[in-house]
Amino acid sequence: MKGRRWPAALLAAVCALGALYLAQRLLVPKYQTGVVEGSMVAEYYRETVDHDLVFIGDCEVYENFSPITLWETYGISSYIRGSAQQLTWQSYYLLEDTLRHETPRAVVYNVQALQFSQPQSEAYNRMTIDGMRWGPAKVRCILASMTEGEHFIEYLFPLLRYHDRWGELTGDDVEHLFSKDPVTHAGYYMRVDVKAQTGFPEPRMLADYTLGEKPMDYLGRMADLCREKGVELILIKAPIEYPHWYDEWDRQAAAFAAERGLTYLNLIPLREEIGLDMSTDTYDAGLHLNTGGAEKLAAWFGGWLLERTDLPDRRGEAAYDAAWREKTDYYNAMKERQYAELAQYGELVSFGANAVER
Amino acid sequence: MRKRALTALVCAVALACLSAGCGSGKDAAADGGQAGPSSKYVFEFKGVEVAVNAEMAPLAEALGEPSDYFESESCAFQGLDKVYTYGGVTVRTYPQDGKDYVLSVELRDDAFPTREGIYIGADRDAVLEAYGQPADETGAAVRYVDGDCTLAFLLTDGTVTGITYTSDAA
Repeated sequence: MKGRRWPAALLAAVCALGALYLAQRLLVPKYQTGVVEGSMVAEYYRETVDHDLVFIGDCEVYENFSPITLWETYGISSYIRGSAQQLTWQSYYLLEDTLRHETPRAVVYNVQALQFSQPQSEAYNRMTIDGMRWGPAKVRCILASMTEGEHFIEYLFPLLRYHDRWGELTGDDVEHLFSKDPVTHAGYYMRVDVKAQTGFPEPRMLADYTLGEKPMDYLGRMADLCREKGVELILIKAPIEYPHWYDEWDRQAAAFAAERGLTYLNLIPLREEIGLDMSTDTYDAGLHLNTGGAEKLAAWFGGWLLERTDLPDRRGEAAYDAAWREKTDYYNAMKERQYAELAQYGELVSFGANAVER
Repeated sequence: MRKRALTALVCAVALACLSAGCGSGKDAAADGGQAGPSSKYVFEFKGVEVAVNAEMAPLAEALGEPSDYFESESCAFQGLDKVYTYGGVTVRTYPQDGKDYVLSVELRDDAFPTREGIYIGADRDAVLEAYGQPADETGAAVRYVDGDCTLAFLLTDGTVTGITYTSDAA
């Protein structure tokens, strides 16, 4: 009898674990419509070619630089490892993770997040961390990022965190149970609509303009890791004025770069030279560039990079040509679709805030 | 032994799913602050008490039309960050659970003294006389902390040039 019960118990165990697995697949957010930022980090692992240039940072990279333009104009194979409100320690661990897969010639890090010394929000943590592949970098990233009330086991078994999403499930949760559509173009988030920048409120008055120890420590680790791997680290501040980037912060970023022998480029004062017109090149009143702006910035930045680095032109190499042709086709198709929606509805309806399933 | 181990594993996972996190009920899309004021440092103007972490909607109604208003969508649509300006007073908010709460209050001109009578243009000694020993002091600021609020007097050459009430959710 004992021998007969054994297969039944095993079958029951397999079924139970399978059910839990399916429940987890169903209940974790899919980030396929509207709020797509939670899909960005995982999308990197689908890449079929290496990248000579990798951007790392928050929305100031994934909404402001078009890798397609870098490819089409200069043959630079690049990728943006960005995510919403990506904190400096998360950027460090994403860099560690990236360098496990490939060794780019240059990494560009946007310094905006240096202003944050503490984890900000579980929602943003999840959007950055859940998509990372499991490994030491992800474990350390979770431990460095958790806000009060978050638990490591909920990252290990996301079902524990999302088990109460039953009432919020949408068609996306079923459609993308086992597969996801790409939401970016080599990490770039596309928006072709226009909402002119008109003005910003006075910057917040701060009692202390010193950048925090924690983000500066992780920036130092980034510099060390890049040096160790022979990767050139370039620090930038995207050409966005709000949230305000204080002169005091700028001086600290510049001093860090000088001390470490790195290049730091604040793009805010260069907007005219880049050709940005914030009455037409932004989709959200100046917080981020639209695709026209991102293409202008990439075209300018690629030229600037090539004067200082030896990034190769990969055009003509079969594997790169094939991979980037596919990306370019998808980019152009999405661009057409967005312009068509603008023409038909006067606004985007399948992208951005209007598409958020609430 | 293997059977017991498997049974234990299944039970553990199932139990964990049923129990862990059930009490939290929190929304991953809305966290990061702790709504509800808990500090003796409260700014009052137009007869309205404006405390950090207080809900903004009733305050906005009581304060009337701001001289300027700005809102920006946070990344990934996690809510609107709002800035209300009432002349020399700026109130910033953060979203939580579908509502807006006061993140900071900034005083920028001498028309708006604190409850304790300190205004833009006062000197450092007057601040210490009114508020006592600060939590910390640099050449650029004197700071007091109580509950969920940090009250800072920003100094230039020993004179108050700005006053901020900031939530520790900031």
